Amino acid sequence: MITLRHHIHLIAVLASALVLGAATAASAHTEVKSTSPAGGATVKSTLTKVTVTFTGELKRGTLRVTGPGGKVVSAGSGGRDPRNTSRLIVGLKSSLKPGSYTASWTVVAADGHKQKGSFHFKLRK
Amino acid sequence: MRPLQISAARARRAAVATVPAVAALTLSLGMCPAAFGAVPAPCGGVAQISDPAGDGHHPNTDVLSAWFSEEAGRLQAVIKVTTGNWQPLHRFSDKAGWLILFDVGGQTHFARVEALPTGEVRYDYGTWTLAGGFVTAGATTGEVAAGPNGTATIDVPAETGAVAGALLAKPFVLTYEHDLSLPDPYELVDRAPGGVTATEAVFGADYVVGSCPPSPAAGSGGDPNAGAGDATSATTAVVLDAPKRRVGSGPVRASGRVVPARGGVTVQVSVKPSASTSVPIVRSVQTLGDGSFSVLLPVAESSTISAVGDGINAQTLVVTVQSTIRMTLRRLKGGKTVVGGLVRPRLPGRVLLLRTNAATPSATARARNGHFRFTARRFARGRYEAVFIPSGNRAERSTSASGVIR
Repeated sequence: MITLRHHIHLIAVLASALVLGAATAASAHTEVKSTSPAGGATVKSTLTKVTVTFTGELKRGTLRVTGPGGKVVSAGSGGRDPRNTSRLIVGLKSSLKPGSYTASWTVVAADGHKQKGSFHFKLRK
Repeated sequence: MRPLQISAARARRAAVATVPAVAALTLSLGMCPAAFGAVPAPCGGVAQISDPAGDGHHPNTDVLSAWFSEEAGRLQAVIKVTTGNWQPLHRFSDKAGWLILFDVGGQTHFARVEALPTGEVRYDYGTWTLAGGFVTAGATTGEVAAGPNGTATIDVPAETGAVAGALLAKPFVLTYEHDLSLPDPYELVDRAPGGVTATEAVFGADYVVGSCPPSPAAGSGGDPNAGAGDATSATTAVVLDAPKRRVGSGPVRASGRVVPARGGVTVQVSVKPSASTSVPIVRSVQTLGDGSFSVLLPVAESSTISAVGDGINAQTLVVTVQSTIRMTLRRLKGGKTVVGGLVRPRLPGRVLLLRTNAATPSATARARNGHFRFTARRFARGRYEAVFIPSGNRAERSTSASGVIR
């Protein structure tokens, strides 16, 4: 049986969800449109670059890839792709081993909003 | 009809009133269907203003199109957005606004809907100047519809000068978030047509009040010829169409029609580079018997195209030029490699030579008269591509096919 206290607690949770929902919407200006490789994908270890494409233009950003054991496998800190100002790109070192990799990114969108995120992928022979 | 508006505060109040939890959540997500009046369609199915999706910061302030309609027997303005969510979304905004502006007799008027964080929606009209901002003249009525392709319909009072026969010239839409903590509390987030600033020289198509009364068939969007009299009537609308994008060099064909449809109307079509203040190139063309016209325009860079017939302006269109770039690699005797190429159209700008997986260039060069050449003594082996970055936003940047330096 749902008591009045339970009801009030549930209402408070719902109200919080509303407020959090509004806050999320307020900050969701530029979002990740796609990544290469796709998040969770398994690709060949001949991969030479990682990209993250956003829904809007970027001012600047970084992209770093770490592999098994937390070893950094990206060449430099990456950055905004000169070919497409809505994209981050970073080259990868050669001879990567099969395993799980994590790409971590930070961006400053054209409207000044800062965001960060990451995604995972796997390499196979 | 007042739309369904849900805010955190209202939801809390509703919850305290023991609204079932599931219903409250459904409402909070804006999924509860609401019965709205039919949105009046644009005259002849053609909106006075169209604007690309995705340039409006938030889906609720991202304008897709706007139009005047007299389908309801009175003049109304309709603003369509990506997602109708009639509330400010910035954390510190005290309200958000959507307004259509138009010139009557040299004065810019507006009809507006504003939404408060409480969910309250209110409608007003008034005048606007760049120096003086928005000056409310009174309240009006309207309604908003939530959800995808949401609309705000605002009754445009005759006090704006929008009386029968009046020309509503140079219409455009502005949306804003209003934040009192900012030096200018009106934070513009979309302009349609155009980008985001109030002073851009792109406008929607003019509208003559009374030119499109309700047609007998309800919901047809009005008959553009119904109020226009016989075939000798003055032009009430000019519709212009042109490609939004052009790759490489060459002219662009602009076409359109005048309403009511008739031949022999002189339409002046002009084209001007968007990034310059140069004098526009103007082509005069006569309409054919069906009211249509077509003309080839020289477009050397991203440009705005406009058309005017009988003093009635069509919507300003923007043609974005995408350059093409071709890279050639030549190995000289002695092992030196020369990298050069062509850019079309021949726009000024920078060319970057990049490894295909790099964010930073290996070399940069200037594009002059459509040519570029990298003069570095030696390049590291690998696969490269050239990226052209035009100066002054004259075109979109472009990337060549890749080539290998061995």
